[in-house]
Amino acid sequence: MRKWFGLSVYMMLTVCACLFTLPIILVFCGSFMSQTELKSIYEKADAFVRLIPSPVSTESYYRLLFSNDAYLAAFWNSVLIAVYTVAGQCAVSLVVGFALWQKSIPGSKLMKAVYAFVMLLPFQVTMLPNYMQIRQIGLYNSPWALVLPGMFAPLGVFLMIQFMQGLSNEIIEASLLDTSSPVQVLVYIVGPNVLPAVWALALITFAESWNMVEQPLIMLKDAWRYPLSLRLNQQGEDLAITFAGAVLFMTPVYFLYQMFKDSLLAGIERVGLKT
Amino acid sequence: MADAKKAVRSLRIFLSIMLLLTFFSRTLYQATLPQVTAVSISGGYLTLNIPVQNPLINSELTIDYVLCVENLSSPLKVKRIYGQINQMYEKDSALVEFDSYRGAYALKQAEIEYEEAETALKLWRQSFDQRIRDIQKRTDELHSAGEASMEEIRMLNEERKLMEQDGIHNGSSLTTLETRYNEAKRICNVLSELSEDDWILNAPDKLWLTSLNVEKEGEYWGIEPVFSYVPDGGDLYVGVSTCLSEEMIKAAEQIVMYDGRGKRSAAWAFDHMEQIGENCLLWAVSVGENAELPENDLYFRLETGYYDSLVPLDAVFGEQIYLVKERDGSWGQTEQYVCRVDGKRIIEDDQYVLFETAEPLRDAMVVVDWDRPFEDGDAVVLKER
Repeated sequence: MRKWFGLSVYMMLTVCACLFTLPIILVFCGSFMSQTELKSIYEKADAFVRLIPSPVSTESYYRLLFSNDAYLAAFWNSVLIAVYTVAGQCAVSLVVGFALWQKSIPGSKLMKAVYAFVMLLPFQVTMLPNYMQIRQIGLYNSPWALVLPGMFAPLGVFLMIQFMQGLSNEIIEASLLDTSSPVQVLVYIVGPNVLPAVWALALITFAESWNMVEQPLIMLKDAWRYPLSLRLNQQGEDLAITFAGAVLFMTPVYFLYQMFKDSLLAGIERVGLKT
Repeated sequence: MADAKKAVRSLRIFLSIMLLLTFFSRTLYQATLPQVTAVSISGGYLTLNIPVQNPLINSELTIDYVLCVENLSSPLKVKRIYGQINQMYEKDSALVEFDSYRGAYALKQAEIEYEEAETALKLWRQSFDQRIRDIQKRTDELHSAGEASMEEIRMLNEERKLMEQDGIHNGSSLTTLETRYNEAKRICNVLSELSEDDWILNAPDKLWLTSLNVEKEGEYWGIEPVFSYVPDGGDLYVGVSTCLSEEMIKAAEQIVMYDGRGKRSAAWAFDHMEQIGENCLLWAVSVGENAELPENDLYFRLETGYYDSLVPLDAVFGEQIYLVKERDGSWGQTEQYVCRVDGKRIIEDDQYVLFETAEPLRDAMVVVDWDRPFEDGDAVVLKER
């Protein structure tokens, strides 16, 4: 009985996994189809979805990379925005997290509560105040309008505090007595110990920044400043370009996941245990 | 760990490829764009054939003339006018041969009108004087009759007072009759000055070609007379003007209706106006002796909201042209792209088309040639002719 139950759960999970990965597989297969073939599949209500391209065509990649410089421009826009956001978010989260983790700082509990509350607010609620502030400080239509809110997102701080709960207070106190410099303690003691959490945070932030659509749509005016996530939405009826663009769009995130998946799992696991 | 190393290597390769493509993207991209040849919409000449048919003008006369657009801010000017076949007329030389029979008929009609107006005025004055005398006589009789007739005397006095002050008698106004008489006399004088010998004109002080300026300033089209007759201080202008579109003719007609003949001191009023040919308007205006001429000569007010531009013939495809415009490119630099503009062909010759559009095309670059097909909004590489 128990064996059958385990098997059915396994089957169900396999089906779920297939369903989740199906869009990615469709996009990957579609990127090797011609525009005509894609139209015949996706623009007819009664057409059956095909996975195998017939014939296999790399025309969409050629058109995407060689006859259109908009994709490459948007790609580097995305890279710059994501890299700056990740670097800033990790630095800010590490420092603020360390400060709030120390119970000796007055008001740290309240600050933590505020961070947790802000983290729970949906993007649509903070969108308008963010937009107004960005306009007031003159950063509208600049990449910094996307980088700055990302750098100071509360999730990183929350994650760091949770992760630091696992650190030994005695070691930190001893280090402080030894060096009397919190910066040195952060760099040499806390930093190396929370590295898995930093990598996990970097990956999450990168994915979030790489995929954002609403923020650039609101904060940027010039089309040439758009990141790839937004540019992909504007390909119009050219399905071949859209499919090929989507595959290349996913590639960096996939490689980064491969690089940091161990740290990500470890980080999330430890944060989860503490939470 | 091995996976992470592989991923790092793959990511490096991926980014290197993207970087390499980025370095060459501009060159590769430019090579794929259509190369178009464009010219600036600035000037040219338009040769038109306008058949002229008018009671005062020989119906067989055809005026061929050349419109010159130096640029869109300058007026369309006639530099040379060709009259009858194989005969060229320079500026200020005559080219109109009037129909003497119809001219004499017009003069006769004017003389009849003059005589009728004079007779009507004379009869009115006689009748007026007679009535005044009758009132005077009856008043004297009533005075002698005594106080019982005072009411009738008062009424007669009031009637006399009204007649003398307002000049109204038998339902006719003296002012109206005098105006009709003066007008008829004036037209008669003008037409009689154009004696039979003058119907073939070559004297610059009679009816001569000045120029044809079709000028647009803001919402106004200005049209100067082609042939002008200004005897001693200015009285009658006769002109043949091009009408570049039906809307223009309609607009001009509306002005005639609006201004009427009575407001000619404030605005020019048309004594005669009719469309001759598809794109041509003949008009005549008279200006009172003390009237102040508008500073900018004669203007038709047009509110069609359209702009006319002289576009090379090979730039017009059906009812549309393609302009080369600039926009932000993918890397923030400017790039050229083609933008379709729909319009209407007004008139054309073998080189240019007068093209009517909803937006001004001043100094715009218009596509005249290309090396591969393109669509509205496509980026292109501009090759100036």
